Amino acid sequence: MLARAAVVTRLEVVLNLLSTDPRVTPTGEALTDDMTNEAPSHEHDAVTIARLERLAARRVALNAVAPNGTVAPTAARRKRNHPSKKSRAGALALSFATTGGLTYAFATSAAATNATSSAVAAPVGFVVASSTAATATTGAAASTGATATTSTAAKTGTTTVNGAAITTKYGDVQVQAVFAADGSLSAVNVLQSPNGDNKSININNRALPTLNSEAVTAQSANVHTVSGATYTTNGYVKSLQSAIDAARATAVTKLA
Amino acid sequence: MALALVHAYQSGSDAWRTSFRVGLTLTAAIATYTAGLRLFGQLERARSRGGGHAA
Repeated sequence: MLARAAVVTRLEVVLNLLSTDPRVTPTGEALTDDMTNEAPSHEHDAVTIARLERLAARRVALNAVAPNGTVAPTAARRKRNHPSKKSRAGALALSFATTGGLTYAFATSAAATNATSSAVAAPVGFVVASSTAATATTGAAASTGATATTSTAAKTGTTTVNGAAITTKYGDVQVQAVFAADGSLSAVNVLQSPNGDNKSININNRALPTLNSEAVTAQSANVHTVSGATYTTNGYVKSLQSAIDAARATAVTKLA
Repeated sequence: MALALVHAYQSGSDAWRTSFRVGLTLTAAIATYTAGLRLFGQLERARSRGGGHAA
């Protein structure tokens, strides 16, 4: 009985605590904000209720259905700013136009380059006497001397020998050596040179005349490298050397 | 990135390579699409705002 009375007493205490205002101490003294260190709970409730009301109003606005069954275009929907179909179509058309323009420009420039190369590869003014046609793509093969095309001008007594086409990082280099009747190197013509971009064209416009004059002056392929045109110079030297070797092999010249 | 590629093309470095030209074309297409999306979107919004005021 004593234990039962104790349990009942404790239950009464708990029930009293639950039923009383939590902002009142067990002794009945009212708690102040300083004692709880919290804002009054009814303010929390007001903020929460206001927020819930705003959310509910927004949901109602978003789900508003017109009498004809369509969803009304509310201001909240318009604020999302997704690109419309018209914008996407316009941007896509712009993108296609850019792609087409660039492709056309590249195709046009490639066609012009090929036309230039084919025009240069057919020298005019020499009568072909014999040909031992071959081309090399490496410097080692070019130096073997088996890679030249020989042409002879019947009237002037000059002999032209096409050097091997040397492939460099920026394109092929091929020269044509012109030998006089006495076997001296009288001129060098450039048949191919890197011309795939404006920079290469500008470099070669500056370097090739220098290389031509140096080769004629030196009477050999031993020319100085033109600054800024290292690849072209290397290809030029190898192609010219192959032409000289081929000419020497056919007794056109005695140059080495 | 597209401008950098255009600059590289103008400079001439590896501009003759097919891979570079294909990459430049694709990059320009993507850049143009995104820029066009923004441009047309702004135009459309401006037009809709103008129409609202006129009404």
